[in-house]
Amino acid sequence: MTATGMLTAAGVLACTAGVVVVFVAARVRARLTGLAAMASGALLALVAGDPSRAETWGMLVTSVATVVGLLAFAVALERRTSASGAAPWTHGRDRRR
Amino acid sequence: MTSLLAVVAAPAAGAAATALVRGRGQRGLGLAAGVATAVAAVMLAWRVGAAGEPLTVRGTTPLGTDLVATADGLAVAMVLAASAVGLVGALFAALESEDRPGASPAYWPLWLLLWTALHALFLAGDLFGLYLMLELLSITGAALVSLKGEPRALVASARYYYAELVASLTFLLGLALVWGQAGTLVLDALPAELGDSGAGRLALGVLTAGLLLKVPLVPLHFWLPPAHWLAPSAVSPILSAVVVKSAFTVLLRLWFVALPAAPTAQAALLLGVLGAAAVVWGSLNALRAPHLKLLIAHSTVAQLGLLFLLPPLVLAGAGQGWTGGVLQAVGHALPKAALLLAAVVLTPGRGSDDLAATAGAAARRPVAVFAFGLAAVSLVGLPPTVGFVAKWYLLLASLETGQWWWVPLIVVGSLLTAAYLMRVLSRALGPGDPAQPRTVGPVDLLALVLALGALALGLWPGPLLELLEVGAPLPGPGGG
Repeated sequence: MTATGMLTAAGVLACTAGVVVVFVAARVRARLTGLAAMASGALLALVAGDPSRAETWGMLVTSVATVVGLLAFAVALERRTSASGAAPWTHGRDRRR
Repeated sequence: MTSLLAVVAAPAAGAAATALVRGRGQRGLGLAAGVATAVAAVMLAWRVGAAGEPLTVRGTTPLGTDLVATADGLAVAMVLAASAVGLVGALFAALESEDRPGASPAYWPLWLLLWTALHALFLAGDLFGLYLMLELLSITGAALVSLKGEPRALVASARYYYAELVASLTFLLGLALVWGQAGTLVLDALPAELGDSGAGRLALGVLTAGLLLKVPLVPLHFWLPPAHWLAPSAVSPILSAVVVKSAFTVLLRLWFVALPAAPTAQAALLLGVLGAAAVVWGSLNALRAPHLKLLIAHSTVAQLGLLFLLPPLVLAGAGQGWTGGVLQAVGHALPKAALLLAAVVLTPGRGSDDLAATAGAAARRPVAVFAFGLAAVSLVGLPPTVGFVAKWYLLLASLETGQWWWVPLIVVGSLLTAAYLMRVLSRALGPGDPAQPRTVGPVDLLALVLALGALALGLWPGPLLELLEVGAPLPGPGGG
């Protein structure tokens, strides 16, 4: 397997692991870590696609900016939710009980 | 080209302007931007309809990435649906009292940004533009759901946002795989051989998985009912009527425009089967829902399922499947928004939207109940509404392709829709509190306008059908 292929495969694996963590983790920090792993994996795969082209880096810069913004909003939403007294991920379980 | 840019520039300028002012000035600017957006959408539809071919604009961003916008029949029809629901939603928000979300300073910029993202997404002709607009939709949608600040709404908003984020990042991974294989992200420039390759199929699979979570399709629908139920009344209509169709539209572009050789019959059948499961599961939950808006939210899950009959039908060569599926996406928007607006006044002043609160609503809000009934007729799929036209084409395509098993599904889906919507209408038409005065308010009239729109599209579907032919992957009923 070429270096590009290996980097892409690593990106796919990181993304997959991140999905699992987001849906399984009970703690806020773990969920955010899962999202960060997903983002890192996707961005790694993006760069591995064709690092020699300027467009790749242009997309990387834009994607990093959007991902940081999205994660920041997730943190803000979590803080607002926990300040309101509700806990998102346990809510569904409480209702099922 | 001007009208194509205007449908994105008008709401974007409105979002920027309303972020700078407060109070009545903000509402006025927001409404003006909404009207300008709707006018631009009608002009774009007229231009594309008259030209009979897609309108495309190409450019490059300062970072060197391609920027492509294509106004074909699908894009323009969805832009029209978004504009109709967006404008009515803006009018509703402008009418809200000072203590409601429509009066929140954050509402107007978020609402117009959401509208911008919707239009830009429907028109985007490249994967990176689509990704950015999906992200903007996620953040504005979740922010609007959380606007009331109630703990339950915040919980729903957080779940909605996590689902959207996971879906967006999955989409980003799929985009990266396409970039690595094709060296371009422009949908109409992807090499044909990519669709035939394993790498191309993997990329399409990853992109599709992200989009199915965004739609959402059963069994990935866990986040939708609470988010749409607990969202502010001014926000629920556009979420349920249009935003849920955005990812579906992207999916259609990927499957039938960008990589038409990649989807297999088995994959299309799987989507159809999941769609069938959504019709049944969403309907059963709607039959049990104790709250009016929750019932409508579960019905959205069910109605979205019908859209996924399109892939197996179109892949089998049925142009009428394309027409029926897209018409279902567009035509569902008006009655669904009408239901949600009518719901606001069917359960007034009781602090909850329990179904029991709709008892006797016909006596006190006759216009709203009529609008609800008319919208229900369209969702059930009875003539002469647009819902009937859409289901008719889906039925014809099912028979044409020999996929007869969708026929009982469509019929059963219609019966279940009638059953759960009758839960509301039977209460509303029954006895209530005779002391309540009879009222016809602006919200009742807005709901009626949307419901009449569904009727008008059913009576005169010709212009919309002709529009849908523009850039369609297969000739529809009018094209042989």
